Amino acid sequence: MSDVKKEAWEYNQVELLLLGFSPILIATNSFSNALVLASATTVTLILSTGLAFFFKKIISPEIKLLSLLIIISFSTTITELLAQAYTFEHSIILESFFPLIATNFIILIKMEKVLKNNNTSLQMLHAAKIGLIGFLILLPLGFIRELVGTGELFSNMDLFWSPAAIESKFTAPQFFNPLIIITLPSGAFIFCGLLLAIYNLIRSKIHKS
Amino acid sequence: MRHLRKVLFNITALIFIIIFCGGLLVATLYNTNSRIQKEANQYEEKALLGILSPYSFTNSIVEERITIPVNTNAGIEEGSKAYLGKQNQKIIAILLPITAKEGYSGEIKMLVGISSKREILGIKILSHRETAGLGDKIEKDKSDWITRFKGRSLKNTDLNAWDVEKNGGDFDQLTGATITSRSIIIATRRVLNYVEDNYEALFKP
Repeated sequence: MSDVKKEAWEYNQVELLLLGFSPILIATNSFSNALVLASATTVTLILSTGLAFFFKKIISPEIKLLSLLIIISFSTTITELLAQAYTFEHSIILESFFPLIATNFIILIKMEKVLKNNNTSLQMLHAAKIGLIGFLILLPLGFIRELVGTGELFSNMDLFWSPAAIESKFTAPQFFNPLIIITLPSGAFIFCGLLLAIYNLIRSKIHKS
Repeated sequence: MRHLRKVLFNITALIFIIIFCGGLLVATLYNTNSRIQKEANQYEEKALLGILSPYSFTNSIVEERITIPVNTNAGIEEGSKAYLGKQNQKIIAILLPITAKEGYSGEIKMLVGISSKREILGIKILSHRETAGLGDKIEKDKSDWITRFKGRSLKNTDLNAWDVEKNGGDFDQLTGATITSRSIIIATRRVLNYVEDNYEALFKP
């Protein structure tokens, strides 16, 4: 019994990632939003870890925190500009959420690892992995939230490519009553909590056997 | 001495980081500026075309703007520029930015789209300070009240009809927001008068 308890409180990679993405979770209430935010987080990640690596030799322990913060704020601003240039309408919809990417402590952790370790290619690979996992977390979230919360799917995809993409919009049949709470911030966390509960259940079952 | 050297080194390092990152930011700004401008224009144009639907134009609305005669009584302030919608070389619709001054809590800024036939094509509320839940229903996404002005002109609605139903007019008032409704109705009527008086200057410059 105490073994199972111990494992349940074990350090959990996925939970850590989820915590880091918390502010972004609020805004991923549709598939297209999730796509934009996940891409923005990945771009910021790559930029900041790249810059951290670039400045590695001149950052001494005393100025480490300050320089990391400088790097991440510049990276976030650059990402925001890129988002405005390539996904203008979404950058208006998600206006207040791009700066919040800077609060994703996962990015800070990765930058610190880059500064500490000498095996930089491995670090860059890890950073790319986090970016990818970001997509894997946020896209299904946006997908389900849009589907269950509003009964529609892919409603803003025409903003990415041609207006013809509006055909890919899927609307649920009339009898389907959307669960609006899932599109609100609380819904994001409810849904994540459910996901984590399922994940932990499966994990503890695997450990038991 | 050693300590001082370290501090100086750190300060220089920080300054270098800031300058380099700043340079990167400036480079990005420079590169994306034209693209962002273009997208912003497209966005604005899409929003404006929404007011003037179902008309479509052969020109780009955001690019052609003319300075129009000032008439503060009609709500046309100093320096207002109208948007022009053309079909080939003829102007078939204009968007006028006006300020309705007798709102319940202050000025209401709006864009009124008028066709060359002197009919209202649509109204868009840009800013207001009306009461939330009552007066803010003049916004299109809160209620469709503002769409009831479409098609109205001085010909099909005579002077006395430009008022709220309570006062014998043609227009339904918003519940609990009679003053707000009335200010929009009157401002619209004034703009139509303004267009009547300045037709040549607006549609045949």
